[in-house]
Amino acid sequence: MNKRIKFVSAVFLAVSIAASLLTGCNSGADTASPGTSTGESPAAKSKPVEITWGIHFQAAGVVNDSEIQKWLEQKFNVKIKPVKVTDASIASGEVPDIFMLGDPANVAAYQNQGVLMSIDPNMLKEKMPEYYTDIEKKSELFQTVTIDNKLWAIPMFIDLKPYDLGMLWRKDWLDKVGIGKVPETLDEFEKAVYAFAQKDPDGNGVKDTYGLTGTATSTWSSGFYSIFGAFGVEPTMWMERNGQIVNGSIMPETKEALAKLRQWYADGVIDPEFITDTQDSYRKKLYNNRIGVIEEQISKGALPESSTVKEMQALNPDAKLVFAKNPKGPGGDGSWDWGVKSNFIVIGSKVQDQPEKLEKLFEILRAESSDEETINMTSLGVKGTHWDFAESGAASGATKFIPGFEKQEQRDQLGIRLFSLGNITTQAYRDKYSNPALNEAIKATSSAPRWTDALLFSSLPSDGKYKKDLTSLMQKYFAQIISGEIPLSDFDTFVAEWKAKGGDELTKEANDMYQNQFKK
Amino acid sequence: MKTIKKHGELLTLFLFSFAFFFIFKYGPLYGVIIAFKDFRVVDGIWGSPWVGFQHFQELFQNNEFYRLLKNTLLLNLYQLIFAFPAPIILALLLNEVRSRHFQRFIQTTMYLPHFVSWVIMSGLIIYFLSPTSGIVGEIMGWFGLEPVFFMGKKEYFRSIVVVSAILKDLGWGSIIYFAALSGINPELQESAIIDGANRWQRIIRINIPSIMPTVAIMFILSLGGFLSANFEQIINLLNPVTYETGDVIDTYVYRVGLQQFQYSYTAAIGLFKSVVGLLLILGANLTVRKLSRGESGLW
Repeated sequence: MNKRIKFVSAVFLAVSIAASLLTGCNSGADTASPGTSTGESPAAKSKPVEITWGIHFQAAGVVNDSEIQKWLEQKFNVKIKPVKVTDASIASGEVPDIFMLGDPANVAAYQNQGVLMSIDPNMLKEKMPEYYTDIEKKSELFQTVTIDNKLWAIPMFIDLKPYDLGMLWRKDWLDKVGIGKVPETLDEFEKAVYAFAQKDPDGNGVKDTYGLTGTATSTWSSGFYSIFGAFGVEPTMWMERNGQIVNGSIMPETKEALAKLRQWYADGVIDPEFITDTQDSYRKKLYNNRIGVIEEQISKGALPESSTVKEMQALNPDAKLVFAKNPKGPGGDGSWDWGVKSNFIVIGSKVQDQPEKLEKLFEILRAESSDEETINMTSLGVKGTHWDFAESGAASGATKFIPGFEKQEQRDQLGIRLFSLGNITTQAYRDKYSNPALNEAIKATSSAPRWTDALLFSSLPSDGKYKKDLTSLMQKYFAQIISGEIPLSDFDTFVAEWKAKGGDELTKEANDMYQNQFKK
Repeated sequence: MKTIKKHGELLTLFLFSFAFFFIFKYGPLYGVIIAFKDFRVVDGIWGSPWVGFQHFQELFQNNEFYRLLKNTLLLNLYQLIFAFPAPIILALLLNEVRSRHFQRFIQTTMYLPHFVSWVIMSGLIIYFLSPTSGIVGEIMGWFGLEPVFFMGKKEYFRSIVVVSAILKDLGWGSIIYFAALSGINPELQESAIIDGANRWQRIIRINIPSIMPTVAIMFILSLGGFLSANFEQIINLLNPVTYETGDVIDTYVYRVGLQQFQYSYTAAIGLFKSVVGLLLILGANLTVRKLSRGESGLW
């Protein structure tokens, strides 16, 4: 009996200790923050400012006390707490002091939740003069993150975009079907893809090849960007026509492009699996002798050392690739174009009551913009240890990572990229550190700057209500029209449905926004 | 005090489960009030303004909602008709297998797919069903049939979901019925054999009635999730062509709610689902009790 009581009381003790530990943790966290934020310590430099930093959104997870973090803490006399920003972490009220967002729609959503601090443009000019001289030339970017006449993010820009799309052809297939010149026009493109589908380019005697496939499941549009581009439209994009803003999903040219794609599908040129294919799977199809041309990012396909080219070589040594421009059709040549916008830096709302911290943040931002040492350390690591110039002994140009640090995950472990802010860097830095060959390839093959979203992908007030549903509606109709499941004339039904389900409202908002903020 | 001492062990055990349910199940219920508020992160749960039933009105006035509801209900109905009995049948069949080794082997291999994530599983399914390189199309070719692009036709979507769900969780779901079958008193079987009952008669008269209480409980529990669908499975199989038949409440919530910070609206949808689920459980429990004259059912 005695023993039993002892056991029971021991269990109770354990439970109560656990409980007090739990509550202890909570109260500890509560008391910690006001102490640091007021910065009571009188010694001017001794007490580091504590910064909660949302790590680069592409990084998988937080690495605490990494080499780069320590370097930053040392240099700027701060204490960094790296956190991973997710919608859930924001919902629980944990807003980092500084983090990055991918596009204006995200900025609008976060702003609407009241978690961002508005930024004074004069402060940008004053605290980050180098950045400001560059971004001033792209001042329209400020409009994309201006809500209620206040600026909510620090926009960044990029003009030579390595992720612009061009066409990556199987050169050996072109040769095999007797096409000497890499297709430049839509007609030549059509001839080539028909030949790929019909003339057995892989020479196995079986009709198992297609010209091309698409990505109907993409999250933002319809796939076949270069074909729509040849007709001068991009579905879902807001486009300007004679001063009016219209949506690329519902224009007459869109119907023409669909008619073409539909014909190709009926003739067995488009892989029926375009409905389920992704960028990953169509690269595999190119390697595996199933299709002869894909849309590929310039940085991944244009140079001999580009990733898709290298992978192709490894998997299919006989294949030859050639990178070319998007085909030129009745509407010119073009593809999906994200425009000059890059990511956006935002500051958490709590910082507005902590001028000392804001000062510190701007000091770091300026360094990440124009101080070569800081930029290199946060984005590349230590020269000679983690990276070097591609050409040995060079002092500028393309950079490469040293073996052991070639994978992004390896670098993340050291903190490289976690605190990098990407395209906040000045033009001068970019000129020095970019690969001239890639720049040339971009200039030679990109269709940009032909168009981009007329509102630079700004978020419309009713986007949250309608946009996703309208995109799925478009994808559904387009996939069915291309695959011949419904007649081409159903495009008109689609347009009516699109308008009725919120499209008209969005078009009106888009025009209002364009008139007020973007019209030159 | 004396009774506390007397039942100390039981109370201690109870305390743990009480703490679990209180902290993880009942505590968070407080957050449900955001369904009646306009939740903004900065204002917090309590500070956000009350809006009454506005989010529910918005939900019921949305034309999309009825399509989603229909898809969800149909999908679950099919699941109930086809996927629910499958593990029971498997358990009954395997129970009759004489070789213990063979039985164990089958059991183990059939558990395996349960541990494969839906992301991988969907990739495999899309690959198998590919009209040009998939094994299903190949087999259809042997019989002179034209391969069908199953993933690209909206009329096949529900069947694919149900069949793949059966394939994946058949073995796992049968565990509980196995346990129930092994609990049957062997004397029942022996006396039935002496009385000259054949296998089939024994299954009908002994095995099935013996596991009926378990079946009833599983049935009631599965009804609780009638407005939910396996989100992970569907989001990975869905494509633009199959939206019309495959888009369910959960995928919609993901698309418009979680991706766009509409926490209150999403919470309202969740609450609606839970209320319907609760009503279904209560109704099913009542029916089961009536039918079994109070002998089975959850309570």
